[in-house]
Amino acid sequence: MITAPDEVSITDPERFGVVFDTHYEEIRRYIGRRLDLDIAEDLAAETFLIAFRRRDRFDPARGSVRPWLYGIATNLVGRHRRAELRRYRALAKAGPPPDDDGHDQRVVDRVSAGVTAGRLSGALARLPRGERDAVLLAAYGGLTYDEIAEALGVAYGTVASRLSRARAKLRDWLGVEI
Amino acid sequence: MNDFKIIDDVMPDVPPPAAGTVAGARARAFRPHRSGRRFPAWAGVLVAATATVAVIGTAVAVPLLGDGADGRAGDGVTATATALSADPSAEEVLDAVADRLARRQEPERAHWRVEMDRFVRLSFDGGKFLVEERGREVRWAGPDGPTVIVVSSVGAEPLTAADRAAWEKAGSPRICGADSDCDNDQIPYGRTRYIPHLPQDYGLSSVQLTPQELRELPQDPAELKEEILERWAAALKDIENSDTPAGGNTPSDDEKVWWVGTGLLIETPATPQTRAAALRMLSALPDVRITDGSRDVEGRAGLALTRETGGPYAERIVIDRATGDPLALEEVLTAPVPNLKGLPAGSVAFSRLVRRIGWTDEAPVLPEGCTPRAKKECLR
Repeated sequence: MITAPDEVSITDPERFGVVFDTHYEEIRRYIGRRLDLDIAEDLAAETFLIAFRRRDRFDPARGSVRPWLYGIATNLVGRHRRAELRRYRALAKAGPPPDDDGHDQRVVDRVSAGVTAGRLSGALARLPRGERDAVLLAAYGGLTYDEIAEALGVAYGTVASRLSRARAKLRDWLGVEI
Repeated sequence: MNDFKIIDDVMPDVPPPAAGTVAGARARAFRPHRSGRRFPAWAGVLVAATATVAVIGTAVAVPLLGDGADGRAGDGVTATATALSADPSAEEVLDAVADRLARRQEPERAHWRVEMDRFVRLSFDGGKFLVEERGREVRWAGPDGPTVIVVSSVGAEPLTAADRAAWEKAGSPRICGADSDCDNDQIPYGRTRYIPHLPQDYGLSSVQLTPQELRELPQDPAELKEEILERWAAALKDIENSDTPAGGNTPSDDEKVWWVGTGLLIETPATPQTRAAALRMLSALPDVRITDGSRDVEGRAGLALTRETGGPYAERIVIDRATGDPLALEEVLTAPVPNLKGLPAGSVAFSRLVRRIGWTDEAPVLPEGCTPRAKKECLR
């Protein structure tokens, strides 16, 4: 693993820009799928501000920069839990806003199987916060169990059990394997 | 992992950011900071090089004064100087290099590129031995600003024969550089990550520059310094006016000028006239000394501007005496530090070696499916 640009850049004000350039859009997107976009953009910027200010506390022995950033972002989302739940309830009622992935065949397949953004939103709103965080880090960030553990500051086994419980609940509620 | 992929597939996605919002977020994230040490404790693992990196005090080759009025860089390829002159001082050499650079004609082409090899020295296995990580970084820009960064991870090996022996004694553990479990890599060894941008400004420390602003930067060192400090002050004001939490110290003016000036030289297609002004500006900073014949981590000799930071690392930029282009941007150990056991002062801890820099008709090639939003397709 090369430490640059991520791990070296994070220590150096001059080169921290590479960390931002590499990860800003995915962090913005992750938060933007959990909260309204105006809040998400603020929180994405704040994620990097916090990362920059705490960069001397980043411990490369524990993993790479990316899960660390997702962890900061998830903590910030946690401060807006009510807004996130409100958003899911609104989506559950109204269905999804039109988006540019609407014609993706996978989406068509899922919708025809009855798994809509509305039903998923309702299910996500019912999950306990810890399970929802783990599920969405996997779903939106593509993080591995190890990375989720790093991001949330919990043990690997905790991640495994949260994801397992969440999977069982979502299967019951939605009627399909998740 | 594909777990919960259905959620990613079905839930509404987020539109790309509006023009200007990314730059705004970037400005906020780049809240100015200052610390006595340039590196926090863990980065002390950046470790010095071997004796090949010693500074050589004798001038060996300088560009001829006054020649090359229409000199051009040869397709962005750096070269070392061969012309000789009679024992000029390092300051005289710098003047000659800057004069020559300022006269260079450098028409913009379709793309601009800087190709660099990166070397990072790390302590491994609790300081039992040292390793060197090698990588490659290519930054692309165009007339509308930065476009793509391509970062490759080449590998890591014990630094010296003694380090190799210590590594073998320790059971030849897998070397993963700063990543202890070898699994969370953004760029695993042997792989390349492509980072395409949506159109954006150049970011140099806290200073944002549009491509046009970059082209129009002053060609006089004093004016360039003034503009950099003004732009920093404006960026700082924006940050203070935002609702982000307070904290952090402001860098000194010298630090701001150094960071932005070296960035202009190594990461942007600033005009040759602005780059010449940047060289003079940097060389005039109080903590900067000029040495001719300094060698970068690979032993290439050039004109070095070295800035003392007050900590155990000095920063230096090594300039090609023939072209005025950068050869290397490096961090040099100025004193032994406990967590870099056995490494002498004067060694390079971190280096970016410039292989090619300049405008080109070649274009960056992205892997199929790699876009600013598609991260997985961008790792090859």
